[in-house]
Amino acid sequence: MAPLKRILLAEDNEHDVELTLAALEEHNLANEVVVTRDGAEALDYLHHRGKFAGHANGLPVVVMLDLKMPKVDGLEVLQQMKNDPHLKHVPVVMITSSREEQDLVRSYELGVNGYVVKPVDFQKFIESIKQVGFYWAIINEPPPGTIKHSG
Amino acid sequence: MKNSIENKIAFCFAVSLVMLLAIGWLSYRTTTNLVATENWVSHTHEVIATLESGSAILTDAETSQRGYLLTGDEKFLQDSKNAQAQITDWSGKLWKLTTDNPEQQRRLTELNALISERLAVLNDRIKLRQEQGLQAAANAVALRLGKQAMDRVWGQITEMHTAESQLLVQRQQAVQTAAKNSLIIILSGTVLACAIGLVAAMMIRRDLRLRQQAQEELDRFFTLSLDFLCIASSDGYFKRVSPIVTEILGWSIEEFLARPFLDFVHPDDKASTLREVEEQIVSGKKTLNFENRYQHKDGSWRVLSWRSMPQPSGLMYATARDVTDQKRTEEKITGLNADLQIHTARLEAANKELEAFSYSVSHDLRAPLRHVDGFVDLLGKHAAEKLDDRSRRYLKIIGDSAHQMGVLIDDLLIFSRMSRTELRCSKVALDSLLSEAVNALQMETKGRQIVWKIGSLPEVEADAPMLRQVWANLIGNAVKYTRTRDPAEIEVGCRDSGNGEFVFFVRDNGVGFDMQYAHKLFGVFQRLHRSEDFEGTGIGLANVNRIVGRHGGRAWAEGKIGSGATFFFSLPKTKTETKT
Repeated sequence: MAPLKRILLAEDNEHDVELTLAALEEHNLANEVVVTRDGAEALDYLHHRGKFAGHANGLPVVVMLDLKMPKVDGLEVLQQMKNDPHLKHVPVVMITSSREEQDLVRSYELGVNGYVVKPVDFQKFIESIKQVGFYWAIINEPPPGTIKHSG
Repeated sequence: MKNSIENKIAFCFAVSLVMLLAIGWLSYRTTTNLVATENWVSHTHEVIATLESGSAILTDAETSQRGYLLTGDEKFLQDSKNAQAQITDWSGKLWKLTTDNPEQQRRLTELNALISERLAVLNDRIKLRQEQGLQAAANAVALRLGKQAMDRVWGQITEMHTAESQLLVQRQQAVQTAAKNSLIIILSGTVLACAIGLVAAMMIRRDLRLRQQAQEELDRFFTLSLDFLCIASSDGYFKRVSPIVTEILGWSIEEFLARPFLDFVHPDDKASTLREVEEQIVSGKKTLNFENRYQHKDGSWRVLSWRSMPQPSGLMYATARDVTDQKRTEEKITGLNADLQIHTARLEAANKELEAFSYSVSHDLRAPLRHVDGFVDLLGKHAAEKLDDRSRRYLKIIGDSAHQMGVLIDDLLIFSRMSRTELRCSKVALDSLLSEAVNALQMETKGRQIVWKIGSLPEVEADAPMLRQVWANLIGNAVKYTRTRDPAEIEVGCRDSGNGEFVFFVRDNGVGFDMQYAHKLFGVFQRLHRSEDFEGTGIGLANVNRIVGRHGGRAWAEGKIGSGATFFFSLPKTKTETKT
């Protein structure tokens, strides 16, 4: 049984996963992250089904979504979450390479809580991810039903 | 109008007919009256004659009596007796004649009494003569009783005569007056009836002339019409066609009328034509824009567009227009449109592909760069102690290159976006866009001394984000290429070109450029400086050029090596002026 974690990261690119975790490590948040490699897996985690079946109930403090993922893409995950009464209060932040207006507009239409463009510059990238993690996992007061501490 | 004329004519005829009837009736009545009055006149004459005959009889009776008194001859006595007998008949006759006139009958009654009185005297004298002889009778006569009675009889007869004569005069006068009046009425009536008849005739003539004129106009309309007009009969032949048919189809009118119209219709159109005609006859609805092909005398086919209206009489009134050329043009246009649609679809597809490509570039090309940069950084940290200076320098070059490529990709994406996104024009204040662009350059201008000279800038109708990009590129260049100047001078202004354009400029006192390469400035990836001297991707001015071009303006530059450069761009102001 996988442990419950406070941050859900959905990212298909393993290098990006590694860099993101490296960034979050600076706030000692890396251990708090559960990584899913596509949208379907992310939804399974949130619904406690598939390989995440049998999990204790509890929601992450923030979901970090990549836009382009195999199977179910980030926008779809976002849409399903915001349409689900059980999940719609969970903060979602898009972490993406896309600066395209259509992606921005669509994300905000669907009710995204944050939109971060991954900078090419690694220092800036680390800075961005650190701040996102710091804000949502430490400063922000999550909605009721959220896991306060990782198990 | 036509109706009212017809009504008027009918009214005139009715009036004159009534008048003629009245005149006829009046003539009949007058004639009847005249005849009746004439009868009365002769009646009066008869009465008068009878009266006069009565006098004769009485005279006869008296004369015979006197003869008897003088001679005693029985023959006289007999005459007198005969005369007396006649008087009774006469009186009866007169009574009958005067039944219409109570006045005369009253007089006749009196007359009869007077006659009886006279005859009594007369017979009394006769008796005296018979019984006592001549002397006694003569003495009696000398008493003049007979004479007095006779005078009264004469008087009465004269009175009756006079009355009858007066009646005669009255009746004759009445006849004359009636005849005269009738004559006047008949004459004037006839004249009036004739006059009214004349007016009616004139009206008819005028109406006929108008009708004829209208008919001529209609005929002219028919013969001069540029549309083909025709009347078709249910037997499948044209009854009448306008002469334009010869111009349109080459056939003479006679040739065209000689054959059933279906003979001229294209074999492929016969069925639809027949159907259309039958449908029209059945439904009685008009046909609008039915098209079929008719054969020209030269063998070619002309497309006719029909409009027709069936009549209850079974005739069809139709007009046709030769739309062959129009059809041909339409087909050409349809073909061109189809081509255009194909081209548009291709362009759209190409555009979509480009968009997808840009999206991929944006997302997928940046990821590996980020990884290069990130892992170089991690490697630097991870192996810090093991690396010598050279290795560290290599790592830095790798990082810088990745960074440079990131900037390049971003610039390319902006350039692509500026080319393909739709212009969303609104009224924009160029001065505020400029200050936004200047503020965004704070990082670059920090610690430098720059003298800004910014003139007043107008409002234009334009896409705000795009024009912000223009300022960002031009000001960014000015700031970049004056890096070696202290103080740097950057001037921004606008002037009215006089031919409906605003011309904007950004002038600096920077390193300038060689005018012989000026044409290369606005090309993509074209640079006039080495990137060791001035970093850059060579896309900024290409962006400016494209954006300004999309707004209907142009961009150009003037410069000299070492003496600064001036970049110009123009924007049409028509839009601005019409909108404000």
